[in-house]
Amino acid sequence: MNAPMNATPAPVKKLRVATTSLAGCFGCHMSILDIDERIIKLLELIEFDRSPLTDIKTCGPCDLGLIEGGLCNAENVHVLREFRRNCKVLVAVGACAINGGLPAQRNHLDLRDILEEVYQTEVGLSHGGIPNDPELPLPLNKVHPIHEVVKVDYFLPGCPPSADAIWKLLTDLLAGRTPNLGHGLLHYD
Amino acid sequence: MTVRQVLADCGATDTLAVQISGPSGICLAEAEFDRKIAFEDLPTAGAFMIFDETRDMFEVARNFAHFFAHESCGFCTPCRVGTTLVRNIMDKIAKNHGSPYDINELFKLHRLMQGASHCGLGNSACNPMFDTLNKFRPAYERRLMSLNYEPAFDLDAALSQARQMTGRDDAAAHFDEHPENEAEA
Amino acid sequence: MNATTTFHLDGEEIPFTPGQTIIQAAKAAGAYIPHLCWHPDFQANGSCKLCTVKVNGRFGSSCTMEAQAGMVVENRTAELDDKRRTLLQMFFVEGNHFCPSCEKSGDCALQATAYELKMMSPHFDMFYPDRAVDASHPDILLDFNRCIMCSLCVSASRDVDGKNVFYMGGRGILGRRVHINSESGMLGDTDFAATDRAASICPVGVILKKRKGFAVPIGERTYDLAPISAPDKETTP
Repeated sequence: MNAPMNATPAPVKKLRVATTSLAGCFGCHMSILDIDERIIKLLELIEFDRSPLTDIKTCGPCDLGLIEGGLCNAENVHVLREFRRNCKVLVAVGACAINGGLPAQRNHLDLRDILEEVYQTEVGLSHGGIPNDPELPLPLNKVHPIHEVVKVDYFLPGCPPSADAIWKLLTDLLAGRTPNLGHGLLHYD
Repeated sequence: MTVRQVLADCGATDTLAVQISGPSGICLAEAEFDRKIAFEDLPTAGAFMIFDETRDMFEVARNFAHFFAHESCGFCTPCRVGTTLVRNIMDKIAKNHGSPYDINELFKLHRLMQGASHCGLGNSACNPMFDTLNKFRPAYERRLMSLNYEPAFDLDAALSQARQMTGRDDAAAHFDEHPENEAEA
Repeated sequence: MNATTTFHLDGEEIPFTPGQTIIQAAKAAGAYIPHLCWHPDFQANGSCKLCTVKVNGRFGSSCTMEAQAGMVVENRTAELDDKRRTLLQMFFVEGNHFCPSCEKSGDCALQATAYELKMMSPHFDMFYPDRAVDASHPDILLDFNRCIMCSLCVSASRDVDGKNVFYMGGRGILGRRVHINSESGMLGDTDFAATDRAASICPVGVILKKRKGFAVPIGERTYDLAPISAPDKETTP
């Protein structure tokens, strides 16, 4: 687990990294935290912009953007586009960002039927009507992976990708190598 | 006998393109009309389709793409999935949602299907796209949304069912066609 | 069985007996040619096209082409692996392949082959097709969402079990699929048994034994232990 990375002190400009979770479960972010004490080494090389880890709400110009989750509503699309505008390199992290994942299981149902059943007809639910507050983002007809809406530079599959896989991707990118996950690190589950 | 002679003999005028030997054959632009109908140059299989200048060669190719997606028997992977992917990309470009990325995808699928497919249908299914992209490229380019990457589907239309069910039609219930105009906050 | 002659596979000399296909000879010599619809116990189907190689400069399916003395075969070149990766991506977008929720994950030939070829994403736009599952059989579940049309179940049920439970039918991207040979079209109305060869031949997660899911922990499954290209790995049981 010794990282192939030599932490060279100071003058190197830190890479600015933003992360977000769209239609995901934050499991990929938990897996980022699973790199454990290596995060200290990582913080010598990068600094976080918008991320659940910093609670910064908007994304500024960044070197790297990590996107967890697919697209299930209008807000997901806006955030994804904000990341694409601001990040030189965009990485789709995890199954949902890459093929829609678990949220895409609703793609076999008509959205109108789903809304009707959940908010109007199903016994035991609120029957409060379909929420139409302009503050709420509208759901998309279907859930989509992020590469169907913006260009994605790298993909890191897994549900979630393991901490070692995330570490390998980050250290490869920091070292200027094309990320290369070998047997055991590349997995879709 | 040259293609030009055939056109003259049948009284064709203002000819934009000639498709020889059906959709999987070869599409010729005016510059090639002096080529000869012959086994060694342009074998015809009896089919000779003439398109005049009122015709749109992109739509001709798109029609052929639909034909091949419909005709694919589905036995082998490259043809079964490839003809559908090609049809979808042509439909995307037709709806003015395409970008140069999509044109590169057509070339990539052509290179795979020609060689990897089980029979001649898959091997030649991209010929109409390949020929018209080389000889009538502006017919594609004027449909491209932009020179940047474009979404696979109509984003605003993807909110249609939610708009219908919520009765909303406010600004946040729509997508801006040009995300670069979106406020940064 | 006397190996009389040889051909070249990526520069390596491979012996073969007359009548052997390229992939049969390669397998016997321990060389891996990526494949999905081919299985050593059954007649070649030739549909998946993963095993496409270049023979003397021309593309061909190594599962159907007979080996010839002196032929020069390219296999694991960047060009061919790139085409194979695209074919895998086609499988992943035409069906519904959600590995995290699939009992076959870790033992799946499609998934393991995609790992071997370093497929990082499905690349194309997803089709998300609607395909029904068949849970009518007491011991077996059929989840056609994961079917790759290899027709190995057809061969196994016909050639080994002598039951002809499955057949390939329909045309094109929407029509082509595995059908069940019963009046209702349901597996429960056939004499299919969990002990049939066809019940364990599926390279992906379509034919599943009920009440057996997720029996082996992550880390100990077939392709957790070694990649599919490892010499001792077989396509499917």
